[in-house]
Amino acid sequence: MNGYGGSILRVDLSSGKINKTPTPHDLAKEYIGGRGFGAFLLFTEVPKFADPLGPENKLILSTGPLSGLMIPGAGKMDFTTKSPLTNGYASSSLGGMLTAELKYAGIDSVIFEGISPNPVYLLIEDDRIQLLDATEYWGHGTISVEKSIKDKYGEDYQVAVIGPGGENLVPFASINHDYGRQAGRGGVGAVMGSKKLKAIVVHGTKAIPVADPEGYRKAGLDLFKACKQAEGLVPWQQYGTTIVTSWCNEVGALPTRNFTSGYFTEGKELYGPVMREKIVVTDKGCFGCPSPCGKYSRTKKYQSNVEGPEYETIGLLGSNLGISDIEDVAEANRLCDDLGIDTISTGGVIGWAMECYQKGILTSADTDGLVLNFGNTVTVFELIRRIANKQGFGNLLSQGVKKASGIIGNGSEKFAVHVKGMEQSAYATHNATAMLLAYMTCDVGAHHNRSWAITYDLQVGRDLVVPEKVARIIWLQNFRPMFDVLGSCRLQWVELSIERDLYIPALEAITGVSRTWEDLERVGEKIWNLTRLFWIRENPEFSREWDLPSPRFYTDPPPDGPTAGQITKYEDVQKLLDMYYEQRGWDSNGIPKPETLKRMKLDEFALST
Amino acid sequence: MQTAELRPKGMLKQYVDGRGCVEVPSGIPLREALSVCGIPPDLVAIAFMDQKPKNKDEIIQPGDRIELHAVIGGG
Repeated sequence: MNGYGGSILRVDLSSGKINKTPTPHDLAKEYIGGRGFGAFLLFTEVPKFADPLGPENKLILSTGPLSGLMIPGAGKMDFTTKSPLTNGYASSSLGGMLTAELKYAGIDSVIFEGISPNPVYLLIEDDRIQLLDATEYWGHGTISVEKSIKDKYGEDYQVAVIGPGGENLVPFASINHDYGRQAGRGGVGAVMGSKKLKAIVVHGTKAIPVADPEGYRKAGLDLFKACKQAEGLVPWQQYGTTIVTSWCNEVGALPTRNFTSGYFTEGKELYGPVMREKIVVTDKGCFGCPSPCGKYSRTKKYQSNVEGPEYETIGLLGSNLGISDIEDVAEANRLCDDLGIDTISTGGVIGWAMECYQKGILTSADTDGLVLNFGNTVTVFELIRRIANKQGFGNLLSQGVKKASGIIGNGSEKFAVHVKGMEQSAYATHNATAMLLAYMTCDVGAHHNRSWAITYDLQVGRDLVVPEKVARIIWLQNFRPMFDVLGSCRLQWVELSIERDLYIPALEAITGVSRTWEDLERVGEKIWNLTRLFWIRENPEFSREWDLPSPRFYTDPPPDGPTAGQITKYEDVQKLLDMYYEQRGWDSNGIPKPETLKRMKLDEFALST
Repeated sequence: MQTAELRPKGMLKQYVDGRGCVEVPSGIPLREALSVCGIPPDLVAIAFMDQKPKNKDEIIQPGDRIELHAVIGGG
């Protein structure tokens, strides 16, 4: 099948059985690849009410038809599972080199099921695939394990690995790769840890079949030329995602002290140019990237190396914790990477604990004697270690902000900043209604990457609540995640503003299948509805309450900065949801209507919910 | 009056009728110059001169050529 590795690998960790089957044509036709494959396989293969950390849950890795080919940013892999953090759908994207190597081994998806009796790692060398003993690596950090594996097999072998966070089943544990890339969100690393799978090691040497090699060469070249000629290339490459740090502070969107504000007075010390000057050593890109946004950094203060920090990490482990030294943020980033926990959720839950401490809801008697003042870097480092190891007070925080606040109570639930149990990423949304709705309705919880709309808020009026704004969010949710379906990075389109139509001839030349963006958006809409059905199936109490944001954004106006005194009114929150459901074809509880599912040929899945 | 040049990129051009270069008076902060020519300062992620970032509160000097890049889509 053109554009595909051609097979799906199934690894039963309980029995040690490994088998490969051809990638079904119908699956490729209907769901294309990547996140689409993941959503379909999750829904159809994981039994209803499966324990996310039990043998019935599956961890599904998927590449897309562009992955591993000479298309800008074609280095994206999707990890899908049932989330131990949210009990719903989890899909986390990973850049780097792994996806290309997997395609070269002739594999489109890997499905891990069962639980191994002992720690193992999977070694894929084209058709030679083995489960090997990982006892020597168990208990060690991601960075040293990746290095040991590369020392053993060579630099051409690509490695995805979990750290102690995943081994200890921290529900926001990450899967790491390439010494600093994270599939961070939703606890995919905990699912990997529950299966006693320490690492996935891949080396492939096969060619990917392409329908029209000359057309592919030309379309690929057109895409690369467009990237290299893009007006935004220089600043983007220089700063990567940190280009928005200063801007977020200027517009009151930089999460500060557990999102009590969107403005950090000391924020200047975290801005992209300061970071570039103080700690960045060089740029780093993923497979096939003409515009590398990754940064390798070295801290003088800690004498350590880290990839990053990128914007989300600066927001959550920096300003959100009252930390204003970029070297401290970089070191916190390195600790999270090595221990294998999500930087966003970690910063979210520590920020919540600091506010509890500030309000007297928690005292040092609860925190093992740790002083949880905002800005206390030493405490932050210690908490990161204790969360990953589920040690003492860290055990409470390791459950995530929703569960931890449910245990502590005393009103702390009101400033637990999450949606559906996932800690909110780095945009303060007191007065940015489109971005707020994007978080409320994101299919994995409060994550930004499906629908990034805060610029749109500023363009059209940040407190405006109108159907056009809702339509914009839905369009972005259908369209942006299609890059995760195709197996390529969206940032060339997003940040360099290259024409999205340039991808169409490339996709056709590679797969031999002619598609338009309208077709692709229909697939995106179908996947969106399928993942919604998964939430409903797994959580019988699911209703519109699940789509509400943290009360922080409709009850607590920021005391300072550009959004001082501003919140989104609760009635506007409800109005946004009403308009969203109506435009999606869902009922007033956010359940897709039968006619909506029929239109998308999802009726059969509705029956099983 | 001595002037400087603003060079909006990408979506910022829509605020100046698609022009790639706009003359503005010098001696005022960049933020003010943006407003004068109709570009919302909040939509400018970063301003560049000689490939170095320029703060929006800096005073524009005669002959400055400042590139303006929009916030497009975040992470």
